[in-house]
Amino acid sequence: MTQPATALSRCAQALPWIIAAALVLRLAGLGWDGFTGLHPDEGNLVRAAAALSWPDGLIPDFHAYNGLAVWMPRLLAWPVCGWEASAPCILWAARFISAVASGAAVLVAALWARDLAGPVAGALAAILLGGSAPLIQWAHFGTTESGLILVALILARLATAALDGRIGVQRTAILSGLVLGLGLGLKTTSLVFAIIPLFALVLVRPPLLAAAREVGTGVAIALLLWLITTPAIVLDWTAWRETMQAEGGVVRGTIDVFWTWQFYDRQPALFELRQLWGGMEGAGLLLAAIGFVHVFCTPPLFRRMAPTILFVLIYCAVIVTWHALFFRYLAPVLPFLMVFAALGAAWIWQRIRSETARVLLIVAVAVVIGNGLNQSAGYLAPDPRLTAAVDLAARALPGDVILLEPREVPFATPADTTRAELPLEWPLDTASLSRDLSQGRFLVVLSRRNWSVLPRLPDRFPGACTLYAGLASGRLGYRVVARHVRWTPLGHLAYPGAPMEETRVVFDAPEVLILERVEALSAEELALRLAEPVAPEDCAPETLFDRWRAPA
Amino acid sequence: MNVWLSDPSDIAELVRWLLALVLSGWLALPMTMRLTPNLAPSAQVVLAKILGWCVAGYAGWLASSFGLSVFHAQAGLVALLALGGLWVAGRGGAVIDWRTVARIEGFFVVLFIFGLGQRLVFADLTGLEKPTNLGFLSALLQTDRMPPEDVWFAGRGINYYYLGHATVAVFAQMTAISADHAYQLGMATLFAMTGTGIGAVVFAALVPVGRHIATALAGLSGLAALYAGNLHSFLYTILRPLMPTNHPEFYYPDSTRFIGFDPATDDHAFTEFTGYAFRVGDLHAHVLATPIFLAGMLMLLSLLRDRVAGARPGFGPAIALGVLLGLLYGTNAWDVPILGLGALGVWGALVVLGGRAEMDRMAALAVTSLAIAVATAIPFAANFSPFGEGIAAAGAQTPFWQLIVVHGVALPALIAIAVLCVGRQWSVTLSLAIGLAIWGLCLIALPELVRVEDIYGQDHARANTMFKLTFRSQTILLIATAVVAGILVTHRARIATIGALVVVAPVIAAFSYAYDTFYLPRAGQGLDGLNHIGARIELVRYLEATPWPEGASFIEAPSNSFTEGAVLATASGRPSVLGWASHAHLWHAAPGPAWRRYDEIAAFYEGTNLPEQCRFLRRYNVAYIAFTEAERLRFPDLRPDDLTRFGYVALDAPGGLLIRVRPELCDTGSAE
Repeated sequence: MTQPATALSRCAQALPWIIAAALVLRLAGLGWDGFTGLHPDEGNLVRAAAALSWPDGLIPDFHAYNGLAVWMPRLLAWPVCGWEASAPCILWAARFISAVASGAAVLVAALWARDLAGPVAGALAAILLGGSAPLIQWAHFGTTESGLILVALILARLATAALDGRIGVQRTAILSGLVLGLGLGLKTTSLVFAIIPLFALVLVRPPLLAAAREVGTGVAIALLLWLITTPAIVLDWTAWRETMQAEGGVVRGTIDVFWTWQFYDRQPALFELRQLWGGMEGAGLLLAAIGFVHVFCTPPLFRRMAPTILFVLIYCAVIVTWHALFFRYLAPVLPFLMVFAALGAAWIWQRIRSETARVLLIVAVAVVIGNGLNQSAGYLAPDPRLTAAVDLAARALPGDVILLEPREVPFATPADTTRAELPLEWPLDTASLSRDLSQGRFLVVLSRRNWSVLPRLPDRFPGACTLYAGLASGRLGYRVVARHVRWTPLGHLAYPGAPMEETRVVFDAPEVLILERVEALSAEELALRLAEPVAPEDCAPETLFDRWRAPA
Repeated sequence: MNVWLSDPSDIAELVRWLLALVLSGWLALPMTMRLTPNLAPSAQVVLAKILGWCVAGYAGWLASSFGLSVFHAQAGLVALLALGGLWVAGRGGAVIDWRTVARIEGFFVVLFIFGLGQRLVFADLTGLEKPTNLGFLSALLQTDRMPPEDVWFAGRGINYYYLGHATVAVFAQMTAISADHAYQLGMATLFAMTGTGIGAVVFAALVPVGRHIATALAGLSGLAALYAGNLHSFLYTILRPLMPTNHPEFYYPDSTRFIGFDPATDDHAFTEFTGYAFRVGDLHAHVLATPIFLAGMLMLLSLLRDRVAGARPGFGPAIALGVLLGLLYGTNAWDVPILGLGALGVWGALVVLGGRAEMDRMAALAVTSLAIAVATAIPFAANFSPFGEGIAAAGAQTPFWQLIVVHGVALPALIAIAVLCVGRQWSVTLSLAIGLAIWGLCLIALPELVRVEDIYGQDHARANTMFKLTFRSQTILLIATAVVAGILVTHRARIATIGALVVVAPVIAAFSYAYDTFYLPRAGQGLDGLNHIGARIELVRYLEATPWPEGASFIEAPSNSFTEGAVLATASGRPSVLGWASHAHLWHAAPGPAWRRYDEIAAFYEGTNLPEQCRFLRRYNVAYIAFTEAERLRFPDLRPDDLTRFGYVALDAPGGLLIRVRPELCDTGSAE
């Protein structure tokens, strides 16, 4: 079916406005935590950036991210706040870069989709990526997910251009090398993106010698840029290598860290599929499936997207073997799935004459956008950890003992109170725990990090189930007197539930609970109660979710 | 001076309110005419009035829900902007017949004045659920954003169907009228909208058989909905000596408390109807939802009329129907499946009429309506936890004779429909009557089969289910009766005219209930709904006017539901730690916390344990402590000095004291 010219021109005209709207959604509420740095990875990155100095400290001492990721926020903060920029200013710069990169990624995706299937697909890609809640969330973090997404999308578009013959092999290699080098400057993960241009060159089938020359050029450019942006690879090789090994160990599960405990007993592929379903609001994933089938059944289109499809398949095959199943590891895949969704949506819009199908399509797209708007609006509301601190200051009396959980972000307790960290280390010291609980007046639970994970693993963390079931039921003398959440227009309807990976919420939208001791129990009595067996269902995350939310 | 409203400011408020209603209706009229091109013009004007009311209310509420406006200050402005947008979007269609508009406005104002007169005979907002609903209105008129804080359970948002109250509050904000006055005017508005709404449905259904007949039956059914009872009201008053009863004399609520009450059994059920609801005067969910439900019926009727006129069903009415369904979720969720059932029937009819060629369009319309309904309801659902705990078997059935006693008004009409069917007297209007009858009968049959599980005990297990379903079935069957009467009276056969009289006779008989419901406006009436709280009004005004600290609450003596307690919170809209305990329990599914707060407040007022009292004040961020006659009666040993340890006297009025808490006194130990 031929597309009416007016519809096509409308889509073309709308594209800048959609991109502008996407950028607004990403720039709104960058100070979602009052620039206090409540995202742990961001905190590390900003600390490393703040520690840079001229001329002795040019190489960052933090290698989980590469040099460009550390230097860029510092350099952007320089003209705004001066060379000795404060951490909040660097944090703002990091987030600003991330937001702009995310906006640019939407533009690239739209242009790529337009190349592939016309203006309608381009506009739909802009709408779907622009309104994607996870992309908006990553845009609000000063980490590198948005940058990596941008790199992956540019490489994919270059690959298609090369396969179309719109750019030559040499130009493809140079541009891909440049983009890949910059990606490597952000994070070493970008290496895997090399699959896209390499496979594109294979499909273009240049003469072998020429191919080897161009691949060599591209690789050299990428490596050179990587080295320039991350001189630590050479100058601080041991530290850099150790960091990479540690990161690899965490990912594979050979190094035990608390932030991967949540992945024990998870079924890798199913778990990630569930995350994708939630991240794409279901409707997006269904559209992506339709889009993939459409691409698969359209050989010319399949060929133009083959490098990307191969990358997605290889990348997914690799990450499902990992122990760590963080949602952000899906960042390089998600935008491609969204582009597939846009292609599927465009195909339905243009080829299916059914009004019902069109209405369903509008509903599906509206679901994705609605969640994106909700995500963005939430960043305009105060952070729950900040409101909880104010709340606690009004509740506590001088001399009160405030208990906090370990493995949490910093939290400001009232000045005239005493803060103590619950001894939640294993083997569990029940005597110390009972003593602390008997002396504490308030217990502040800053996120689900502990309670949604520890009780689920009774063999590894015996006693955790009894502790959290007892806290939630009031059996240990405490009860929830305040619950702070980040306000969003859709409230609990759009809040990721217990099955969702914890970093979907713990960084920017945790549920903060303030428990108050309302029954004076001795340490001995508490020890007895902590020794009582508890039914596993009483400490299941879903049960605790409901109990914490019951009104005080 | 011997006039109706003795206070000139009341008259001014009445005029402002009516002008706001006229304006909202007129601004919605062009769009309504576009959406319902084949509906009778007078029905369009009534529908526009209801749609204007709904759009204004929803827009004011929605903007505040998304944090885009401050409800208590800007809701009216937002509503006017939305109505302006609706007018701009709708203009350019058919020419407005201003004579029809004037005639309907006249009917509306007359009904409004009669409704207000009835309400003001019992003006005090006390008894049954009136304090609940006043509390919602008061809270809405104090709140910045949605949901408003529950005035009876500080720290939590209202967890009830309050969208209808928000609409009343939007008009109150628009016209600068206080909560208690808005309550009275809101009830009168609903009275007039219900009367004209039912009349409009009947009129629109019967126009094809004749305008005069349609007008007469529309008037009769409208008045019956407002003043008449069910068949019980006739049988147990006029024919009382013939009826089996354990009650010494007729009391008007008996007609709604019959099944399980007379004779008494373990299966108590409620069978309220609109006439009773307006007599009682509770601004409650099912009453607030009635005009929206009627608007939904008019929209469905319009879709049928479009098809009969040969027009293809459009997306506009489907979107409007979706919006109405979404609004019903936040106003009275029971009406979603009830109207949905009717919509399903109309949809089925349109599918049959349209044939295979229209299947795709019909499916698209259904998806559109559902999606719009969900989208409209989502902002409300985002902050609402439903009370229902599932569906169970009814567990008991009503004796058939009692069903006849309650619903017998429609019996002759149902028989007439059967006779007309047997006689193959098919017409579009008869099909409509059949559809209405099936719809109404389904709603009567459902609570005989299943019930929604809620907090009611075993002896009232299906009381609420039957209440909500038969509240609507009685209206639907009343409309069906009027339609059947219209068909019969215009029939060629003379016996049909007699049949029409027989069909109408029970409706007329049910007007015996008007003895308890019909009240003319009386000289000297006023809008004041808080006269019963006496001198405590000064405390209320203080709490209303004083700048309220973020997240703060106040305390007054705790009370149980359906009592005179918690008046300060109810009337001021400021959140108290606990108001009616059982209601807090129901709304927040929190029996433990509600009664724990009850004990904590008592312990505070009676207490001598200073640190624990300080803890209590901090736990709930208490800013004010009330000391009125209610506290004196509840805590006889309590002295003002016991409370001024925690702060200073902010207001010393004949009605009592308000003590402003100073948290630092607890910090420094000065409270000792």
